[in-house]
Amino acid sequence: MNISEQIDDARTGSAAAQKCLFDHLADPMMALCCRYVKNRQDAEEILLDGFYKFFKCLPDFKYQGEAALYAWVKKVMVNECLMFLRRRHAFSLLTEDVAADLPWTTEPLAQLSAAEIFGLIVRLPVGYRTVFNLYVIEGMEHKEIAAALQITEGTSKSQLSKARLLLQKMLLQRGIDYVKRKAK
Amino acid sequence: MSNEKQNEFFSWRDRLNEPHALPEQGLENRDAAWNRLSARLRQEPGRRRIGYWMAAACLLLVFLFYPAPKPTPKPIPAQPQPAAIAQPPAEIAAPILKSQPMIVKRASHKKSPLPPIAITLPLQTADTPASAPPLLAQQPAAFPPPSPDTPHKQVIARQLRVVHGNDLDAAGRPEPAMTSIRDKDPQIKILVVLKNH
Repeated sequence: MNISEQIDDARTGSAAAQKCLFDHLADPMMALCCRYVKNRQDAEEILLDGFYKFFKCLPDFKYQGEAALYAWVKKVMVNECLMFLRRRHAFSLLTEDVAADLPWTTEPLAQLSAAEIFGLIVRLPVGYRTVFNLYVIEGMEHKEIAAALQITEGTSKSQLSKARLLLQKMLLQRGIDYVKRKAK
Repeated sequence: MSNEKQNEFFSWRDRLNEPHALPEQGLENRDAAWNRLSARLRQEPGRRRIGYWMAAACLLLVFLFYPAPKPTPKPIPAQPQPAAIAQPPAEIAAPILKSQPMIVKRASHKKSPLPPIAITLPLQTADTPASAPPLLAQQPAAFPPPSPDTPHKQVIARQLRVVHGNDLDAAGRPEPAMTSIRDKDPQIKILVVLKNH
């Protein structure tokens, strides 16, 4: 059964079709939730809330390919993560310093695996991590991020700049550690 | 960003976004998570509706048996009495005090009292110059005029002598003739009549 047929059956309330969709999308969505929320139990709660909304809104969804389905589910999960972070007041983005236009090189990240990149992102503070995820990974503009997080554009740029600085420091430290391990 | 750098950026971003790029970050117990989600999806929506209907019925019963209290009629406020202060004090106080006589008498030591002598003195009223403080200008005109038989005049009459106003000099002091007479006969009674010139 392909994805399109599964979606059609899930619209009618078929538990089997819904479980197939859940099995197909649960792991990547869980990784996405863990990128925003460090605690795995919280990430699981957000995942279930997101899938509940996904299945409830499925009758109104027009299937246009697996990529579109994946993008829509991702959007639902990201919104759930942001709502969770706002409810918990997990971050206070107060700074509005002028964001330094740092040279952003992707060479170090390009050499890393997905798991290593994920590990670096998760180590960022929640405010930096959220803005970094939304801007760099999800491809949102600062204006959209400001509206989603109820902050100003200046704050969004500032948080991104600080996230980049911190990532560079972590990469540098990682490089030093790698050299030391190689030397031993 | 150059094309090469853009490609590098998208490459590691796509690597992160691949559906099964991070298998170690997936659900630990997928079946348990699905059971919880399935229970939420299978929850009967009618149960919620029944709860809403019951709540609405309870509210209706409350409104039927306990109607809203009727608003109590507001008491009619008492009509304000006309303020006596509103009247210009100069028009009321002045005429009353202008012609108010005050009799000052002094008790004599002799058993047979001498006849009293009237003295008229100027009284400060609202028409006096601005330098003098208007003692009575702002007082209401409700004070009754002192009658000739008020107690304070009788008390003063016992303490002071009665001297006629014609026997006083410009400064208000008794003339030498009167002084000598007074010295001779301290039992002279002084009648002071306060009059506004």
